[in-house]
Amino acid sequence: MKALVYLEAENSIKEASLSAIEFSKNFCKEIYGFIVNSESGNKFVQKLYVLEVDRFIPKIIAKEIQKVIESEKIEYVFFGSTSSAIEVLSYLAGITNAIFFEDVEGYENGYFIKSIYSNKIIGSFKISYDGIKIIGIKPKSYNLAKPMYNSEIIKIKLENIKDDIELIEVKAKETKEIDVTEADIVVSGGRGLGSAENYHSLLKELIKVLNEKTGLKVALGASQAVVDAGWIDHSHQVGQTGKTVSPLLYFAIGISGAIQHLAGMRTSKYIIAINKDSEAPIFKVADYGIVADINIFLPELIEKIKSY
Amino acid sequence: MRILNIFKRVPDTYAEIKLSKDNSDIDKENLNYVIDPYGEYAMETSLRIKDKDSSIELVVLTIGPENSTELLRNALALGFDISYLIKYENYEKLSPLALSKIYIKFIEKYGPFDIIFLPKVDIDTNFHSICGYLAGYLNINFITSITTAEIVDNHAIVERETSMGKEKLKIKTPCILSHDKAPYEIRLASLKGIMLSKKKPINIIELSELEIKIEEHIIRNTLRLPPQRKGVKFLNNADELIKVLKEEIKIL
Ligand SMILES: Cc1cc2nc3c(=O)[nH]c(=O)nc-3n(C[C@H](O)[C@H](O)[C@H](O)COP(=O)(O)OP(=O)(O)OC[C@H]3O[C@@H](n4cnc5c(N)ncnc54)[C@H](O)[C@@H]3O)c2cc1C
Repeated sequence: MKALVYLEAENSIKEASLSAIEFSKNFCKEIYGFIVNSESGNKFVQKLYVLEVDRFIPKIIAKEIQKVIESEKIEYVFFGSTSSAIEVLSYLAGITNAIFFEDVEGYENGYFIKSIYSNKIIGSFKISYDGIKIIGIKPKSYNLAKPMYNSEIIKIKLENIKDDIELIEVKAKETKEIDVTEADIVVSGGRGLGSAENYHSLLKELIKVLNEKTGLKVALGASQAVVDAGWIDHSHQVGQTGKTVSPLLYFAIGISGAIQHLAGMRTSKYIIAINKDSEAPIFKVADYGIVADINIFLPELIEKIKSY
Repeated sequence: MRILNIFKRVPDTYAEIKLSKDNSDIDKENLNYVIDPYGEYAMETSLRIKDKDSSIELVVLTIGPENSTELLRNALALGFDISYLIKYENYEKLSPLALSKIYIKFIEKYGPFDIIFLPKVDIDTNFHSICGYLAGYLNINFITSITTAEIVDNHAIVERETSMGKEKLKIKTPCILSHDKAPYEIRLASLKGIMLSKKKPINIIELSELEIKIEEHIIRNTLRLPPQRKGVKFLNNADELIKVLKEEIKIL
């Protein structure tokens, strides 16, 4: 049986895509890749389809994937569950009458494991469908594939793409930020930081020293309270109406630990909470807690890590 | 112009979710159900569109048991004109394919709609695919995870956040849009709205009326709670924390 893995790259291939390749090995021996405007990934699959386009239009990309599915007689499509991949592949599901199942965390005895009810419950699911199955792997929940091929690259070039959707304006982020879902360490701050200035200066300083000393990817996170206050934009929000993260280490700094916040971070490997209130609910999920005033404790911690 | 908002009836986000005795389902006793938060933001966006042009007809749809009508009544009080409930008790166990097909039948029967809004994710089942699925099946333009929308002629101007930054896009109607959190607050029903809502229709549709056979391709088996966390160890100072980073978490 053949699997097609939809790959994504930013400079190099995304880890979420590598997990999807590794996951696909549970089902198929022959594993092909499909990627847009990049040749990353050819070391990880047996054949790589590269679509070259001048505009990224989900509909058009989905239709090109459909052609590959038909010509190669693909039964399974795998992908790393990112919002951009979901946009393309959910449309593909619509045009191919496929089953779509995203955010899968594991595969146990024939059952797919996936969190539901805002990560409050873990479900196990059996898929029995004769048609195409499109399955997304939740980032950071599965091993990464290792390079093992030097595959054939098949290029598809599309020019002068027309679409009914027009991009009017893009406000690019000033600096390239690491997304909270992709980081090894997330440093999140809440209302307890007191002000936008404090939030940015203290947390960014901590992020900088952690990155320097550990070499790991460190991202800035936020509670809804500080997003609503306008201290930072919504792309940093962790929780029910923000992003779900499961990094190696999550810092909750001045965050009370409301149930909607926990929904987005409780699967982190380690959680460290800093809060002046020893009764704060965040301590119920934390592995390590420090009961202290942020304004005194954080500068001291930063200095100590710096001189470590 | 007609706009359709589809929302999901979900457990209140403040609720702790427990399991039934045999672990086959969640314990629904004493669980309070609400309109899903993304569906709620989408409804606010539709109401804002109608604030500017009262000739627009706002239709709202959900699927669920009979008492879902309470949530539809609330939507009518906010300013929606017509509401529909597709009555189906076991809706939380539907696969995204089955759920999409039900919505498609509804759209074919009760449409056309110029814009269809959906939540960016159904927070109960964690499905993100319904918007793309409907668009693909119906061959209609779509954009996922928008944060605002306005109507200009026969186009919608929408904004959204991507990993690159903020985008503003213009999309031709008819279109399907899935809604993320909006940058504005959600309104509450006014007293007048509540009075008016009593005269507005809540139409209940039996699944059989949609002439659809539910096939279960994704079968939900047992449920479990996430592993308990170990419990907190309180540390006294920065030196102790650095020791943990070094010796326990091993990143320094
Ligand atoms: C539908 C819905 C969806 C939601 N989605 C999300 C979501 O996605 N993400 C999210 O985060 N929230 C979400 N919320 C909101 C959530 O309920 C909380 O309101 C929010 O998480 C609180 O943010 P906070 O912890 O920063 O603020 P607070 O609850 O105000 O907590 C601040 C904490 O800082 C501590 N503190 C204050 N000063 C200091 C100091 N000097 N030193 C040390 N500690 C200090 C306090 O003890 C307190 O514990 C949602 C709510 C709803 C209803």
